[in-house]
Amino acid sequence: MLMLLAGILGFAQTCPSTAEGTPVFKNDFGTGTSNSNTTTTDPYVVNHTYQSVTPPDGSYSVTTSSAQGATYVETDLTGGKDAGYNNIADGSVTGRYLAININSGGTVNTVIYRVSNLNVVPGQLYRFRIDMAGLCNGCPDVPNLQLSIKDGNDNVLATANSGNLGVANDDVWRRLNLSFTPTTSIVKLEIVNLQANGGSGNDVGIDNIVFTPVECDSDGDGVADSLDIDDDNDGILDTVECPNQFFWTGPIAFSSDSKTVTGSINGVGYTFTSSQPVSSTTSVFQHNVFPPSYGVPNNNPTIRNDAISTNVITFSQPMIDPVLVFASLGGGPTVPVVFDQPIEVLWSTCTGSGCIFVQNSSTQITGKEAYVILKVPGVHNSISFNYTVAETYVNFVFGASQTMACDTDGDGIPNQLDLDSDNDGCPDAIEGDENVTLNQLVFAGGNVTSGTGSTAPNKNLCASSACVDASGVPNLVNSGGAADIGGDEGQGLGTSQNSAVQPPGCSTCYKPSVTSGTTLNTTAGISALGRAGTGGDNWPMVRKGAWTALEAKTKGMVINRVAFDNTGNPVGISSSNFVEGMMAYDTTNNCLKVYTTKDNGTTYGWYCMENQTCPD
Amino acid sequence: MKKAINILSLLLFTSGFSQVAIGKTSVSNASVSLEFGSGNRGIILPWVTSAASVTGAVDGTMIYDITDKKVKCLKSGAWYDLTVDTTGVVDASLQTSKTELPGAKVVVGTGGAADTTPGILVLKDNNKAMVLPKVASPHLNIINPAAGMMVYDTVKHQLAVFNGTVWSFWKPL
Repeated sequence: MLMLLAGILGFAQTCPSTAEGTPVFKNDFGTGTSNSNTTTTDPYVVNHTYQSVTPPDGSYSVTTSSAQGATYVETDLTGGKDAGYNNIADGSVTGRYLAININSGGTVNTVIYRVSNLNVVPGQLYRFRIDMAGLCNGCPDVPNLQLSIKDGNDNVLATANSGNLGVANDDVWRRLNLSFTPTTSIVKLEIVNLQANGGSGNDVGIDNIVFTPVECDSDGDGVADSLDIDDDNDGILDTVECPNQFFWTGPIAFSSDSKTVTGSINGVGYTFTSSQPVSSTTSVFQHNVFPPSYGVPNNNPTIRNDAISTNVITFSQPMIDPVLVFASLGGGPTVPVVFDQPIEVLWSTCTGSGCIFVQNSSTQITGKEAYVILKVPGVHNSISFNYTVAETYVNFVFGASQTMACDTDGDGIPNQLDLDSDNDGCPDAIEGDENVTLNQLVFAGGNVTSGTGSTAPNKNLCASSACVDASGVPNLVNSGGAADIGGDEGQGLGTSQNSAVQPPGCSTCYKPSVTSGTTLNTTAGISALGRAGTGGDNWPMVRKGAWTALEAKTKGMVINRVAFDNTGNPVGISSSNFVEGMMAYDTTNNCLKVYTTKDNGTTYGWYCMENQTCPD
Repeated sequence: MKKAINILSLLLFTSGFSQVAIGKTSVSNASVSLEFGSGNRGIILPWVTSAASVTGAVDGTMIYDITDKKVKCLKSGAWYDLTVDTTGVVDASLQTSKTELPGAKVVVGTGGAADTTPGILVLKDNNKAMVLPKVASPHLNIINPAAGMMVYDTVKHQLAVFNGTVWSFWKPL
């Protein structure tokens, strides 16, 4: 119990802001725009039969509101919309939902919807949610549902009832949430009917049945880090701030039964297990066939396979976009190879007369004297493939990409989460290579910071879901954004990882004037336009907020032009007469000088005012 | 002669004073050419048609250029941009139809009547300096300022100029 509590606290501390990750199960029931698709069936509905239009007691339809002929299965009172997936109010008239005319008397406390055998990660926080609406306008029997999560043995692990949602037969969509942290690895989801009466009502609309991990959203923009390609909203994509790096396997070792090969990819261990013993060669067969640009290693030993076999590579930590190389696939016969997940062929050829290489599908290739380099896109803990025909032999080599430890300033926060990656005091958002200005920065959402040792404020380009695109990149630096240059998504590194460079914009801002309050007239003025007072266009009173207004079309105001000595003080003005805010033009050094302070009032001096800044 | 201008001044011809206080009764000391009272007010620089129209300007001339809506200061013969921002707005309709009086000029300094420096207000003495109007956080306290305003921010010890839309801020190099 203590461990569980500590775990929860730790979660709360590191993730003040969370968002839904990639759903384990998601059903928004789709959309329908024509007669052929405005209604359909659903395989997970339990104890009810399908009737496309006007389903009676004990029947259901997956439908748009407008496809129905009776108000008790329509959302006619609220515009005939379904429920929006993210924001419940963002439904549409072409969106479908599940309308169930619950057969209450016979089905109270029983399941109306069930999804079984969902894989979950123990300890990870999940959310089970649905949107529901009472559809039978004004009827007395109001729907009452329960979300239930069970383990593989039908033990109930968690429930949430709709009783407190204020559900009414008013066609209004309401969201029912159930938070859940599993201790098992397989769960079952159920929606249970709790309303015993159905003679007049208990016709329920259900939409957006979602079971999803709830993950860290470090920048608070509503896009979980795992889906957010800019985790800190500085506008510089994670893959730019911290690129993945590809490595081939290092040296390998064979187990005594030759069914297991172990090795590592840049320090990350892996195990290659074959259902049949593998052997080795001292080099890759016809290694020179592969283009040198791929850098395929010609190792001694290299894995050699001859048999029909199932082969599994298991990494000790998740690896990105593994690359597999087959040399002389189909030595002799033609050999189909089947993969457990989609592959992408990067390069291929075959040698000799009658040689073959084809990609049969996203998960199968076939070769005869074929040479192939292919990628398994995505992040993988393991991948597997089967040789389906025995052959003379094929050599096999592989590698994968890794997320590198990118922490330019060594403050413990990786660059993709660090608002000042180089600790130079200038925010990454500004140091990126587009036109971001200090004024455009906002205090960051979530828990991203500039880290220890940086004087930069904890600011970035967006602190909410309102100002990022679907991938979580701030709109300011996306195509058409106010700070965009490239016409693309995000911005480049710029000098964000160079602590020796701070662009001028990192401390420059502009401030609008205040407009509320009592506006002061300007009551003194000097005009070259021959006017003043109420008979003279009400000038200078019409100019606001000044002691005096000057007016001329071709004449400026000339301030005192004063020589300065080699101690930096004006010639002819006694230091005892220096007043803060004194200004003169320095004819010796040619600049506009003000008697002011650089250390917030400790010491004063005459300084050229040529360093644009910000009063924040 | 110390002269306090507390009333509307209508000046058609070259006039001269040695020291001027506006919004207060006296200047701080003998080295001050121009000084202002305390309050949330600045000084409005002349809205010139363009920097190029300011003929014969000398270094140390300050203007608000209504062509690009920027406050500028002539430095080593070139206009130094004190606004930088390009979003300034100004309504100069009250002056566009007016004809400028060639001789209109106020000189503050000894021997002002003989001064030939071009300018609507010329602070002539080379042993005096003006004291900027001083306002705490002008962007928060001057309500609806006119374009071309210039003040000294006493909180951040910065020079601030307003282009009709936003304030720009300057501190020592």
